[in-house]
Amino acid sequence: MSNLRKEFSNIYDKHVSQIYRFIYLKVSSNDIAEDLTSEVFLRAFEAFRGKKRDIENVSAFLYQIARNLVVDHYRDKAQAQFVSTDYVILKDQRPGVEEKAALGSDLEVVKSAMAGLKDEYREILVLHYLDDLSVKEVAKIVDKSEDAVRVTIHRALQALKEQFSVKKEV
Amino acid sequence: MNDKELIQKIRLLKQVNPREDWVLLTKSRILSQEEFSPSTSLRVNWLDILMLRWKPVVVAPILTVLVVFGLTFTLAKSSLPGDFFYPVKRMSENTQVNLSSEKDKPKVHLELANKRLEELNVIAEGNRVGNLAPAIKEFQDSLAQAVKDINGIQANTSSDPVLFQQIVKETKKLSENKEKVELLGVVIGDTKDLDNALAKLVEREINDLEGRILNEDQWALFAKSREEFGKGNYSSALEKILLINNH
Repeated sequence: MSNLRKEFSNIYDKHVSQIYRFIYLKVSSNDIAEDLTSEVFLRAFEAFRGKKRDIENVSAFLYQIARNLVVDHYRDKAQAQFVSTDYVILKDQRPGVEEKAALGSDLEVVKSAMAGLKDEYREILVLHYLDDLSVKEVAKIVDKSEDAVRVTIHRALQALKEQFSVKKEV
Repeated sequence: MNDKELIQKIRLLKQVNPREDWVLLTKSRILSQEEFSPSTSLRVNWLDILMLRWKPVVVAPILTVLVVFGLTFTLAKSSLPGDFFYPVKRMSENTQVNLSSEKDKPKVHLELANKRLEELNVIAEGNRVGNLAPAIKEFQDSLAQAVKDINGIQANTSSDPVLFQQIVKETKKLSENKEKVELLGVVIGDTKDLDNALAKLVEREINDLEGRILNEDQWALFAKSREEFGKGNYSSALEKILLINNH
């Protein structure tokens, strides 16, 4: 295996789950998330071969591609954000939070609560708390100041708390 | 629920992972791109070279220039003295002359003089009176150039049989073409200068042969050559000299 492939192989191994998750939580579909994730790495590999030295922050670069692809995906499909066909069915028929918790489906509860957030909030929570990126790194990816990111994180947490409360009341 | 508990809930999402088989398959698919890329990029470059990928705004002017040049040279090729495109034809012929060696120039200019006579023939047959004067001038200019070249043939290269053969062939053809044109009633003037240039060349060769030991056949040819020279048939005399050299 050439050095280039080895290097990119390491990048892929390190980031593929994060990027997949990042996309999945935006599109709520395994198939679409897989397609878009593979496209992210395909584009990244092309860029990596072409101008490897210019990519200062690989992680930020991958998230940037992923964000653009998701935007393109929704634009192309003319779908409302986070409302995939799968999700619509889930939303209409999903059990209440307590019911899910009772079923031991904590993960589904969180997914459901996250799905109720604005994309901006969900994205920042995922990047910061799930993918463990620093405020500085998140700021670079979402193209905002670090102060603006801190404020958004705070608001996003409040919004998520409200989601859990609302669902608890249902 | 406090922030810490909330963050712990968010971290539950780490359980969302892609399928392992998909991860491996995608990785191998992406990394295999490298092996195919050089040929891909090479193909793209070739397409660029072939202009298939160029924008019309770039291709159109180039194609226009090529088409204009092509049409101009096609029209020029069949043009006659006095025609609009004739200077293009002459330009092309001048290039041919400039690219030929000094040794070949007498032949090339004699060929051009013959071409001018052929053009004159077409003009005379087509009764294109307007083209007649420039055509005669073109012939005289070409002939003058041929005479200059023949006079310029150096004594030490004058015995070149290939050169002689070419001169003989072209001067004979020139006599025939001149006769045809004159039969159509066109007066193109005499070719005394050419005759004089050929006479000098033949005379020099005869003087050279007189000092050489010749066999019987060669003597017979030499006698005929002198006879033709005496009659003013310089091409024929030169032809006999060629035959002597071949015996």
